[in-house]
Amino acid sequence: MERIQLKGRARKGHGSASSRRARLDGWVPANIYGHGKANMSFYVRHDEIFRHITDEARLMTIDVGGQTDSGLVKELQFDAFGDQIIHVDFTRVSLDEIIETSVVVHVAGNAKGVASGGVLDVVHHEILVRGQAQNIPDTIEVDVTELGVGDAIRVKDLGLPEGIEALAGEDEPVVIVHDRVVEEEPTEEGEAPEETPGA
Amino acid sequence: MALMPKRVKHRKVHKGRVRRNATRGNYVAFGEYGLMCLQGGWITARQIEAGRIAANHFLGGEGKVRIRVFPHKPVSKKPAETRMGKGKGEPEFWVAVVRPGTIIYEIQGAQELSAKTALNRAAHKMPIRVKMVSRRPKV
Repeated sequence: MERIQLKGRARKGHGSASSRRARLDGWVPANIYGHGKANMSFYVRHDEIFRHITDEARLMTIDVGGQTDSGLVKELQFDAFGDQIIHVDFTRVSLDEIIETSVVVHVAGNAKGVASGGVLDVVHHEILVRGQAQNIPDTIEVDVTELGVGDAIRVKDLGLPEGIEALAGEDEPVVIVHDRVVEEEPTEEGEAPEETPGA
Repeated sequence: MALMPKRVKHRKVHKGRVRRNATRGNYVAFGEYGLMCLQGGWITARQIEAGRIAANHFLGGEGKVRIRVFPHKPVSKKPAETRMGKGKGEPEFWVAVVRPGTIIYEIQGAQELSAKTALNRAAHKMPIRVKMVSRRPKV
């Protein structure tokens, strides 16, 4: 994982009212915890964290008033429309520590099977992996150009970096090209639903 | 055939109000792209079906369209030229109650441009404002 530098601001007030005010000013409330140290609450800039999160970065170096910690994004909360991050939880990690985290699968290319009438099914959009924090990739690229109808890319075909192991079964499919199923349109008119007796 | 429940506990229900944003069913869970409500309201079973047909017709089998809402709520109506009173009308059609943020359809296995156009076709059948969304970043 690439290390992202993130500058935070210490939190003075806690609770929903101060968080709401901070969000209106473009800040996101965040926490970092773990490694036997005290929890720390801080704010980060929304545009900055949103950009890093959409770029699939999960490991960040957080600097809050001179105190620096390496944190892995543990939990993300979005608003109802998914446009804004409303809270971030980080867990402290050392770069040489063995961690378990999920890595996003990026599908690249157009499958041959899709051109010949198949449907591309991404079974796992994320894969759970274990390895040293500094060696875990941000994304796993899966090239599907050679996939025909009925073919699949399985966990063992992913080509993970050395020292990183997938926690899913090695024969678990990640991407499959299915044969196209034509839906049959029912022609009969529906009847009124039955009322539960005794209700 | 439009969606409707197989069996219900009560044939007629109160109108109700749509309050607040969606807290569930508000992210793309199965596919890659989805159609999200920006307003609360009722979507009839016919509108859901019309949107599905429009999206599937454009895709031509390229991807899979999933419907994420179900019309659980019966809406009753009095017959034409009837005097007021004499009780509530008979159930006429079924609606899905949606809050702002609810995902109505999802498309899986289609290219972005095709999915966008297909969802746009479906959006034209909707009685409320909607927008196309893609998967949220997840940890």
